[in-house]
Amino acid sequence: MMDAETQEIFRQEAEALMEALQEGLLVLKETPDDLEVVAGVFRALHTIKGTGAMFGFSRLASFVHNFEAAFEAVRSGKSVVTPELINVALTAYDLIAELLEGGEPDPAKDEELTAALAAATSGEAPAPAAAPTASEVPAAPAEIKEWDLQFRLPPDFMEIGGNPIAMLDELREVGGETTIVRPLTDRLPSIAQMDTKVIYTGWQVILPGAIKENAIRDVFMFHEDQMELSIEPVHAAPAAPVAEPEPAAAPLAEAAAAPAEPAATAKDAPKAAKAAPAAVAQLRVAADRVDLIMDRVGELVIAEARLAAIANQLENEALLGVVEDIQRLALGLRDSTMALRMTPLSSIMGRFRRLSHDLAETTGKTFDFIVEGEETELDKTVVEKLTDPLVHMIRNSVDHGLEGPEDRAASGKPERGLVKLSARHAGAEVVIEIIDDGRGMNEEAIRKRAIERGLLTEDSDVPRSEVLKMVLEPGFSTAAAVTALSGRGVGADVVKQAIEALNGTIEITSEPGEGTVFTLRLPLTLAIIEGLLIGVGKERYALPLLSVEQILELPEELAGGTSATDVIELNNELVPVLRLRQVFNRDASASTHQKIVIVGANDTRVGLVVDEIIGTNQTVIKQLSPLHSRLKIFSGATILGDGCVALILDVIHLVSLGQEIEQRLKGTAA
Amino acid sequence: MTKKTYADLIPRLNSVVAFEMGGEQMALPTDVLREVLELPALTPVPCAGDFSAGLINIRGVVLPVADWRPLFGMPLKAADRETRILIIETSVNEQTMTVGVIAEKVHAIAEIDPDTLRPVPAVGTRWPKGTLLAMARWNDAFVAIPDVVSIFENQISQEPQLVGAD
Amino acid sequence: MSKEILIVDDSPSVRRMVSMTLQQAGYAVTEAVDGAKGLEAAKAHRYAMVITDQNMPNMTGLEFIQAYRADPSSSGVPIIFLSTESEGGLKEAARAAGALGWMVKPFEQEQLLAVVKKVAG
Repeated sequence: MMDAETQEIFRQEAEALMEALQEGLLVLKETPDDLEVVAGVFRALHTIKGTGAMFGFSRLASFVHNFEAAFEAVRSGKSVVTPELINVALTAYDLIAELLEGGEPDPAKDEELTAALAAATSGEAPAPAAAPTASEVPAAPAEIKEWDLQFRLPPDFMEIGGNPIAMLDELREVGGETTIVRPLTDRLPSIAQMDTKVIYTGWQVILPGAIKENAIRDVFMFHEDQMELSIEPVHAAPAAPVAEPEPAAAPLAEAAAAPAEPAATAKDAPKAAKAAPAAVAQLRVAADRVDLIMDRVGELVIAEARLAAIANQLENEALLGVVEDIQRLALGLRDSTMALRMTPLSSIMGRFRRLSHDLAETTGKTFDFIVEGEETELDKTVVEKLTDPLVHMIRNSVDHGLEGPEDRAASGKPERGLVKLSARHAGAEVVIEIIDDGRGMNEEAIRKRAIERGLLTEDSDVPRSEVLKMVLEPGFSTAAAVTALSGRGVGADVVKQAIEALNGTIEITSEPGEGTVFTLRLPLTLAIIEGLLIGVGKERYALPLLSVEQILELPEELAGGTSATDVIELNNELVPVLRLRQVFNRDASASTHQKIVIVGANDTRVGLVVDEIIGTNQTVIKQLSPLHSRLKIFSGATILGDGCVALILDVIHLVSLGQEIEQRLKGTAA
Repeated sequence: MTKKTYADLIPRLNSVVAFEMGGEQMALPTDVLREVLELPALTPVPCAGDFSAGLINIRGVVLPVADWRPLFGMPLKAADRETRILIIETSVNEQTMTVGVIAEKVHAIAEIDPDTLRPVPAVGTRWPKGTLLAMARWNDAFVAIPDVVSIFENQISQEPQLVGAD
Repeated sequence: MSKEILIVDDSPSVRRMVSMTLQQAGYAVTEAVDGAKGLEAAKAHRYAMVITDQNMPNMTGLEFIQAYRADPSSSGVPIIFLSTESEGGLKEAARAAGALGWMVKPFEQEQLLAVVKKVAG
């Protein structure tokens, strides 16, 4: 039985192999002649088969065997990659995925796909799956009195690490007490000609007839083909040694030829190993172990901050020196650990290429699916949680965004549509865009629908960007209604939830007739951020440093204000201001050195009036409990150097509060 | 953890923590109690309402602390030498949550005689509906046995107070 | 002193299965993720036995055996070659290159242990 950890390793490995397999198949769709990719596909299949069988997926193993046979035909040049082969192979991929997940699809599927794979590769029937175990040789008939076994070990037996004594011992074990072993010395050369590493002796072994022939053959399991071996049943009295079998020339010739070949290979081998510097050795680690390290690093960073606080109080030079070293090490460790968690988006791109392939098949729309920036790295958790929302959005772009070829032609667009997925880093965020060049969203239809659904009121003056976002609201519509509206919405509220759960945001821009862009902004990581510690009243709060644009002295005209909101002019632009002390209902009196911290998100800014700027710190983010998690103004909490808890302000929420104020101000001005 | 009901309560009465707030005696079965702490530095959470007393750091873990007194209409007494925090582990919507509850005084770990168990009178008490599992007697006084699961689930299902940006 | 065995396989699950099985039986196991790493390990230390997979990126098991056997220090070190039933033709090549034997994947833990006991003692 495999332990749970081994099962988990297998599961992860299978997942990676499947991803590689799918990726390979999709690449082959574009470049069918790439033999390196064919070899990769073959290897993935091969490993899935081998390990699958070892972990109890026998149906999978035998199916993959046939799948592999198809690609073996391609690999050996007997067949070529055709679009049909890729289509069948992708369906076969789905079957494997289902089997790996423990599903029990209709067994007829296996045969159907095996036949289709065979047909797609030159119509030849594939080799039937080999029986998982060697075929049983029937037991020796009861009347066999003895077995007369004669054998000569391969000449290089010693050289390759074989042990003839152990082999004879094993035969004695199999045969029991009555076993007779006699050496056959007829081929001994003269001493001068003798090579000390070669065994010239053969053996004759007489074994009881009750033993199965297989049990005897098992002893020679590795060498049967390379050695002289005869096993004869003896029915009467033990026969005298039979005539020597013809010495087989082949093994000798092989043995002689062998050294020449390795010598050549040995020279090339180190070069070959060096020639592939890109292949950094990979280590697969269960994600929860990395999480554990991350937790420890978080604790270390906190302990380090406490140490620094104490050292500063003591003003001991030597201690401060050590603290600096520890600070540097802790930061290095933090960065390395975070890097462990970073995964490129490419790890999930295979799924989207596949999706676009399937969508093209099912919708009959022709389009190019382009991916940009798939090397962009994100926290592993973020990448995983992003998969489903992206699937929804790409599906919707094709289903509802893109027009059919005729409609496109009629409106003067190229018949081939375009769906683009692009990713890039922007500060502490990753920006992901899903772009289509389809018909765009119909603002009026969405507005009408939103009013019907009670999401908007008739007279509400909501900007276009907000109207479009209504499609992301739960209960906006059913799929059918949305299609009729030429809008989107299948699972769109799921998208919104998932992105918000990742502390991300979604923006929609759309031009009628030109297409739609969904812009997702996500934080790089959910674990540790560089923070700016500020004081408001008696409490301290942390802000993500990367969102801080500027820190200003509070202008005099604002110093006396007591309302929660205000506005200042900054570089000829009006920026809404939040007085945090009022927003938080803190009754302590304002400091005389109030500052404004300008923070930005989504290209919008808001000023926060604070009582004090304390400094930067490593902010280890702790999630808030359900008791507080719905307070959107805080994204989490952190522990400070003195052991106190500080809340982390959610800049995106603060900025949207600021925008509301701005809207109101504009409203009153108008 | 499943929802504890009145009937489930009887076997749990042989070990309770007896404490006090707003002059009322209260008791909680110790199977939900993790520890009793002196009041550590408490970070208030603005805009979270008076049920939330704030956040504390317990050995590197940030825990929320609840103040039940406003819920029971009790006056807030400033923290003193006797103030304690009961760290309890409860389930909220099927998920485990560890949370602190402010107690003005903690008496002892005690045993309650199941025969003294009484349902909460429907009227004429200070206890809002659904906040107690039962009443009982201990040391010749009434003790209230709060319904921890229901208190927190009700509290969490309430809309959070909006940020007072106006 | 427990006997040391080197397993060269790019599949973590196979490596782990081999390691666990052999470690439980009292062997010391070194893992190598590919032929190059395997060669490095095998040349640096004389193992009681080397087990190698055939199907690996960069260097196949066959190439690994050839490269290792080219090193005189490999003399007498048994190599077991892991292959699948579809690679039957490779057996002879592996044998010629200097493998003492092969095991067909998939195999059970018991089979593995039996082979290792026979080969490494």
